[in-house]
Amino acid sequence: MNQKKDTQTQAVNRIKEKADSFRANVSTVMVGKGRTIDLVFITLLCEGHALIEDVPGVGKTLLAKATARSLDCTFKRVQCTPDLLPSDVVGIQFFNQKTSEFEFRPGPILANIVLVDEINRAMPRTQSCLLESMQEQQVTVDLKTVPLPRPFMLMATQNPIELEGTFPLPEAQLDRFLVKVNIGYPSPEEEAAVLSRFQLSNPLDQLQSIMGTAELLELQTICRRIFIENSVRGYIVAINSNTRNHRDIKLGTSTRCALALQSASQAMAGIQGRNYVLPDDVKALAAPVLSHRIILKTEARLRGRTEEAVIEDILSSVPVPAE
Amino acid sequence: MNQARQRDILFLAIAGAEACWIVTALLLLDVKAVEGSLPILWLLSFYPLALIIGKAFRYLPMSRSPLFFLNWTLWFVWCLALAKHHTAPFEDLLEPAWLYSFASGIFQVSSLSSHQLILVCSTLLWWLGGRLLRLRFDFSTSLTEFQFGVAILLILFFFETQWDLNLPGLVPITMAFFVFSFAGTAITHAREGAGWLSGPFRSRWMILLIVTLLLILVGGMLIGALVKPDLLRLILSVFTTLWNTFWYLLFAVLSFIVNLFSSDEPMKPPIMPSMPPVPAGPPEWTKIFRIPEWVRRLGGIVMMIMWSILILAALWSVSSQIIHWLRQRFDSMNDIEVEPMSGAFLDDLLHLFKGLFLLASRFFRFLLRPFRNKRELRAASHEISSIRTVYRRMMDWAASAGCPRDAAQTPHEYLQSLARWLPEAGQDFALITNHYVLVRYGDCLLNRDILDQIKTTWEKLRQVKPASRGKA
Repeated sequence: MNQKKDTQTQAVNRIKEKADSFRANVSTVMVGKGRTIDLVFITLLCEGHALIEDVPGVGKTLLAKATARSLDCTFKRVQCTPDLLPSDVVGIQFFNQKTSEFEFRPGPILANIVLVDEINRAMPRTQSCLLESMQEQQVTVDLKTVPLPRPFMLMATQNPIELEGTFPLPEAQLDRFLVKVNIGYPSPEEEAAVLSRFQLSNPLDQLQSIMGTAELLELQTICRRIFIENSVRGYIVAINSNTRNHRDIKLGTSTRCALALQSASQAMAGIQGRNYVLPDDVKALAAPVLSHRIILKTEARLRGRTEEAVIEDILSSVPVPAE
Repeated sequence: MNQARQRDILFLAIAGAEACWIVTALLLLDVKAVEGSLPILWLLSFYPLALIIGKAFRYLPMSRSPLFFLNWTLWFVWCLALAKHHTAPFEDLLEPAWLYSFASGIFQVSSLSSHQLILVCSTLLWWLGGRLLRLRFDFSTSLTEFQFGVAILLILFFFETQWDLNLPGLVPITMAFFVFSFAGTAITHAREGAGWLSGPFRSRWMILLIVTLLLILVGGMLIGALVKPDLLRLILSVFTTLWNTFWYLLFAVLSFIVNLFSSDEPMKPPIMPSMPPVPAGPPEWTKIFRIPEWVRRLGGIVMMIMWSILILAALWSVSSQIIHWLRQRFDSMNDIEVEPMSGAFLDDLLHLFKGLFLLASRFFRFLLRPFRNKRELRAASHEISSIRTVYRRMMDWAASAGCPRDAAQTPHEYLQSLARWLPEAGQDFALITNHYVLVRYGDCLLNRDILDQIKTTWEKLRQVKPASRGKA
């Protein structure tokens, strides 16, 4: 039993090493955003998808590109516009006149990492074509189902300020994003460091990959085996069910959200080199995992309440499983 | 009162409480099952004897297995002594008649005999005596013993009332049981430094007590309402029928197996008037060509292995041909990509054998589990409860001194509050908290040295007087 635990500990230490390398690598282009980078790595470990939401110019697209560069895998980008069609994303069946047969031409979704830039500018039907790929990791074109390559991660960005000509993401779509990442403005020192680094050349071009897809798949398997004690699991359920009864929340979180919080907590423990989950992990990830999945009541919004503040309120009311 | 004295008293209290319901059960069995022929005092002697011998064994420099064997050998010897005294007290010890009589009593099938009861009860009492040595004398143990004893006594009293047995001395035995149990519970509770009315778990213990009493009462009422003498007679008759059927089937199977081994003499065919005379056996010289039995058996095994290999080879060949045919079919189709699967059948076969082997090894591990992991599990649960107790006491102590934990705080968040509240003890708080977290959430075990270190740290910490400080 001890030998098994030692093996598990060694495996978890590999996750920590890779997380440190990933953070160091991406930090060369994203200065002072360690927590944001960790959230992206957690999303990778959980086979999830990340929604990066912030004002223009803080590095949303850069973060996605740096993530793709850090992994030795295929990367595609979709720039969303109102005239973007589902077939532009998933691919088309076209008639090849040379062979006189229909052939499938894959769209940009068939890549390991897909950046869907400004996702809320795409029409709802184009947004909806991502649902199948995000949940079931496959696309269906003309009755033909094509599995997506593994690992598959979709990173979508959206701008919360400029709402003209945009289509808000539906709840079903939002629920499929593991985390919502807010990058935020850098501090003056960090901004100065960015200016210095980007003065001569773009450091993104010099980024090296730190691991391949096979290794990432292996880390994902290890991550799923991280021990989570029953009472911690109960804590996750309690937080989840509290969102359904809170006075400021119109729509609470789903069971998929509880699953997401559990796997994200396991990944959080993994990147800290621990082979068990703590309530601290759950608390730390509650806001990124839950905030985009709840809908506040109008009166709460009018009072100036935010999703993060409500989640903080829930966390301060749910008892932590301890003696 | 010092620790050793407290331990002795607890020992006596738990042993006394157990002895009370054991005596009641033996009295009931004696009167109802064997009409007063059970040597109760002799049987009771097994309980303290197992205890004394178990205690003495702790000083012997021997490993577990020889001690286990020696322990049960002594039980056997004492059981034989009881059998001799019970069966033929005045006969010579070397006379085997008493042994035959005892053995035949044990294997008696028609009805329950005192010898069978002696064997079963002595085994149980010997085990109970040994178990007493391994008990941890704390509040939960004494409470469990009390609950278990009450339940057993209630069942016994119920049967006693239903059968109108009028057992002697039930009232003093019951009173003694309650005295022993309450003494043990009170001492363990005082020993653990928490009061029923002042501790933080007051409501929990009260609920526990009330629920326990309610369960016992409701259970008693249900049993009283449902179980009637007729039903008991029916159940007993069913048990008797099952017992007889079991022995009948066992004998039938045994006789069938015995019949399989036919005697060496060949069966003489019946002589029919019209049949020609039976030819004589083969000449003597042909015996040198006879194959010995062991060679025939070995040949059978070799043949079985060969047939198995042939069947597997045939399966392999057929599968290969099917796969080859499928590949040919798929090759002719355009949109199908055929993945080369060389050695896939062998891999699957090996996988199957590996799975079977794992299943068998799991089964045997499950069978051997009681002998292997019991001690480790007991030690582990003790360590886990110890570190959790230390952490709980630290929280109580800090709360009473002005730094209570908020229910929504994680242990690490609370650690920060504690470190701000009493910076000079920050490392001690961190040591206890980190190990508590490891055990509580990590399913990890601590070794004895760390546990001792934590206990020492806690003892040091509780000496600190933080009363003058404000709330963190």
